[in-house]
Amino acid sequence: MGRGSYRATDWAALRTSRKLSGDSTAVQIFDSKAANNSVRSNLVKTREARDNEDSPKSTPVIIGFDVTASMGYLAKEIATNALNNMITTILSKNAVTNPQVLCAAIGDVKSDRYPLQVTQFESDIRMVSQLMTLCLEGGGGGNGGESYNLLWYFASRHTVTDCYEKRKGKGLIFSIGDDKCHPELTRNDIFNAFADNVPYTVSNEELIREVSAKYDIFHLYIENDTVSDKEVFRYWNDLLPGRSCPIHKKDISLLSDLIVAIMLVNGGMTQNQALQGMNQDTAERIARSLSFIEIKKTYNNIISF
Amino acid sequence: MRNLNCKNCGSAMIYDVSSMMAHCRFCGTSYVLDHKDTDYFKTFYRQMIESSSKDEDRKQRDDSLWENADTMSFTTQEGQVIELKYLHFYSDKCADVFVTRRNIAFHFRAGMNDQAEHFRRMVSSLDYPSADTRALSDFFPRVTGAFVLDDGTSLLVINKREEEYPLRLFGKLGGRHIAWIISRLENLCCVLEYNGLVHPEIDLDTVYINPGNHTACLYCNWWSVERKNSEHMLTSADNLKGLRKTVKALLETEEVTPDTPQALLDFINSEPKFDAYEDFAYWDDLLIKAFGERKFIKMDTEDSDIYGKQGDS
Repeated sequence: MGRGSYRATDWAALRTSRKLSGDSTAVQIFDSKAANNSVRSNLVKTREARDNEDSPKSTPVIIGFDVTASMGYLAKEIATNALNNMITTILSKNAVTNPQVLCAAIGDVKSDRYPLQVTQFESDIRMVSQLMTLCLEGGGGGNGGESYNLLWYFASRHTVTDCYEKRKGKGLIFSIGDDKCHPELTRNDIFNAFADNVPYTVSNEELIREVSAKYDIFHLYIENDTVSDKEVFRYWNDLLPGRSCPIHKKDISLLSDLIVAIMLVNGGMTQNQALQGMNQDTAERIARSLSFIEIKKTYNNIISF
Repeated sequence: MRNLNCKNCGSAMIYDVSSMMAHCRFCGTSYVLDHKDTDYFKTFYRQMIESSSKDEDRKQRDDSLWENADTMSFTTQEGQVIELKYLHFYSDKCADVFVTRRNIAFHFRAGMNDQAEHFRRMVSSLDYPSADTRALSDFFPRVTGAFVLDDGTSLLVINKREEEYPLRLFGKLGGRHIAWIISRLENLCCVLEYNGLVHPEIDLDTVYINPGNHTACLYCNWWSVERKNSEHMLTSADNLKGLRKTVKALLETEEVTPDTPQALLDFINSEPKFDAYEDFAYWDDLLIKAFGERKFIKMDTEDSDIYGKQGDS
């Protein structure tokens, strides 16, 4: 997978054919009542991000978003706006080389039928069309977290990338949601989500360390003006220091700008440099979020306890 | 906590239950702690208690407590460097144990990698009653790192909360403290019972407590945990004997005093009941006999004094 190029005309055609607009509801866009077998993580052996003539130096980019409870607005934003904006901005700013994007719907492995759904790595309009095949189960809730860690497990053990295998380079993972993450994946969790038999429970800290060999990981926490906002973000900041940032729900339309800005900072730019070229209003609104991103280059070499 | 090395052979010494003696497990040397050792212990204990108090200087004091921590580095087979900053260290039969701010690290001796595996398998096998999953799992280990080092030995790291310390560091405690610790240990034994497991090394090094919120956790030595009636024919009674032995070692006095009622001593000196559930019920009865029933006291306040927006009179 990953052949082809992203073209504005393809996006326009898809918007017309699927009647995508700001007025569309999440239910209209994501009309699958059950997850398609092709995207269910327990039926997917591996996803590949390979170099090809269109993408000679591919960079895998994984966008995982929370689809539990009332998170439909996030999926809608990604389908109708963020994904197209993100890919066009990545290409125009050369934020990463030859992006191949995989989208993932993240649920709750403790309660959902489809705790993780994953598309293919794609470089062209199929990244959006496949996104819309995902099922918004709307489960989860009430048990202290969602299963964002499934995305890290999947990326670590079920993706194969030329970026890593040929160049020892890293892809990017962005998870987005409004809750904490369950602290670990038990053997049952892993079997239910991936049909893998593993000997032990795997903690988030171990998973993060493991997946960090192949990917730089980030989490975007959506603030909702609830009393738990500070506590939940503090949790993420402890788990992924310098690699998590808040974004307010009312600023969700700026999601793609924030993701690209994080990519640029991850690539070595300062925050100010990453904000340049944006209109003033956008830059001001995402500056606070971006200020939480701090890339430490020694992240993988020294582990401190 | 000061590391004490044997003056005869140089290896790390193990403190005994009283914290007044240290022993070398390699050459057998015994050492009576002098006032410098005990003063150091007291200073650490005072700092620890202060850092657990909740006031505006707490963060600063927490940090200062860890400024004097010792460090240890390991290198993994992949070339990563693991740095431990620890305040308490001891050597156990399988591993050297380092207590860091938010973790406990076990460096297994050569040839002990199977014990590291067993530790993980036993912890992973824990299951909790569905009604109370989150709260109970907080009191058992969660492995946050497992590494093969460049010399082929294993390093296993588990999580702990910052305010949690091993019972050994608390010296002797009064009866009311002992009582809440017994209650929490009975909870832990019930989880072991539920899972059909026996932890034969429930002791001052394996149990960690948070004195601020009265919680206890069974974090260490899971390499010794077995299924009931398996290899060494261990039973629930072994968990409950460990409980009694642990609190007996903590008890300030075995004389009856207002703070150490007869019923408390009766429990500590009793034989374990058939299983942890029965034992917990037995303890509940003796707890009431020892300290009386909980009393609900009407406070001189109204709901309107407690609820309302800031600024409301």
